[in-house]
Amino acid sequence: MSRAVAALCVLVSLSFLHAQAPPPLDPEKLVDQWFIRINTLDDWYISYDGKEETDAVVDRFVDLYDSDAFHQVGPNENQIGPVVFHGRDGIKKWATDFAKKHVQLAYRVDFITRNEKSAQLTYSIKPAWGGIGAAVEFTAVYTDRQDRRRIIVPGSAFFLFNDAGKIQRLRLYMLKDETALIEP
Amino acid sequence: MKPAVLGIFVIASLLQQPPEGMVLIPGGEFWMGRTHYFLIDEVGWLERDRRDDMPAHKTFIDAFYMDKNEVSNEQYARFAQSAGKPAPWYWPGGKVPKGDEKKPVHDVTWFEADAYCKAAGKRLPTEAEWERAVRGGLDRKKFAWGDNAPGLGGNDPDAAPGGPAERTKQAHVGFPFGTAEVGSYPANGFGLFDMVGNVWEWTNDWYDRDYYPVSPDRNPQGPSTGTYKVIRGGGWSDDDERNFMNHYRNFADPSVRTFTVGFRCARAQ
Repeated sequence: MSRAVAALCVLVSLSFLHAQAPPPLDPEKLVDQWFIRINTLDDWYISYDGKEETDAVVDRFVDLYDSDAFHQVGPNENQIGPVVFHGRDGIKKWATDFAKKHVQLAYRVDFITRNEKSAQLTYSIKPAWGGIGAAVEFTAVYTDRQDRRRIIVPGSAFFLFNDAGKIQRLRLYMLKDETALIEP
Repeated sequence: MKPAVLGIFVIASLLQQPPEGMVLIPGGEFWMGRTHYFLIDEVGWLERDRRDDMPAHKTFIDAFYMDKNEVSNEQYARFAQSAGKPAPWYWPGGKVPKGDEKKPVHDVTWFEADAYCKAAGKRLPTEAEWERAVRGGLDRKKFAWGDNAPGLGGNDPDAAPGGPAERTKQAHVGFPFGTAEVGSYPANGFGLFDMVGNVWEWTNDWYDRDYYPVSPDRNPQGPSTGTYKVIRGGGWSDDDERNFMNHYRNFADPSVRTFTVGFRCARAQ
């Protein structure tokens, strides 16, 4: 009888421990979420009083990041050197600016084909400090909101996610030299 | 020309003149921040490069006036007396030591510096104004005078004020014996003295290492709040050439008084 009780206790403990353990991080799903949400950054509206209402889509995007995250992009034509946005406020500023300047966003992870099989590859690694690292090659397609030119540019993204699946660091590389205009 | 017209012309010309002791810094666009990299493993300053001065970014500044010189002890003494502010601790008996009248005041808090400028109808410069001013019209140079590092006297006795090594220096830096009289070294391209060296200078802006990527491109005023105020320009005791670079950002608690931090004022045109 006591053996049965002991076994039951062990089973209950194991199931409890199992319930406490966070689900394993899936790098493909995490990266996929980022692409889904960056592509919805153009999904905002102008209110009746003419205000550009970007907060909802931007907040949804920024929610993917840890509160102490770093988001690094290349410089624009009025900048030289690394451009690092820190924390949700900084990243929100970047995302708001990005949302207001681009429409018809279509970022997607590149397909690689071998032996008649295609896949969107997410390279991943488990760092010693926990969480997960992931990298993808992608193609960004967007229309400039101001001059309506449609642009295609290849890039790559290197993510570091923490144990909760939030982005701790993201480095985006966009290949300016390979930027091209999409003819209508 | 009729006397009335002549009078208006004279008054208009006088109005164009900068206030006494100030220089007009022309409005315009400039590259603010660091445009070059340090290879930290080669220069050995820090384990990692602090990139609070990146990205360099085009910034537009409206024309403004800047004090030619750092505020001196004798100028501050007049203010302290009339405003009932405490004298800096290094004035024995609350009086400026003889011979130090023309040296820059230091050991004043940011609040005291701010009060001084306001009492004079001026204000502390923003960090962007300060950097616009130190560059003296040069574009993307490391130092106020170009790309060459200032001569450093260090502990060399010849580096004493007026000594042979001192005379070759562009600024009062790397000197172990204290401040020099304001205006003892060559002015920069805008006619400003001691923008580099002598004392660090309080600016109006709060410090935020993450500010440059989100800084507005016209007349940035700095973050709305913070813990430290930005100080700029390097001081007499520094011998690390990075401190004297146009882009270099440093910071201090606004309530702190220290022997290497003073200030100068600015005002709108």
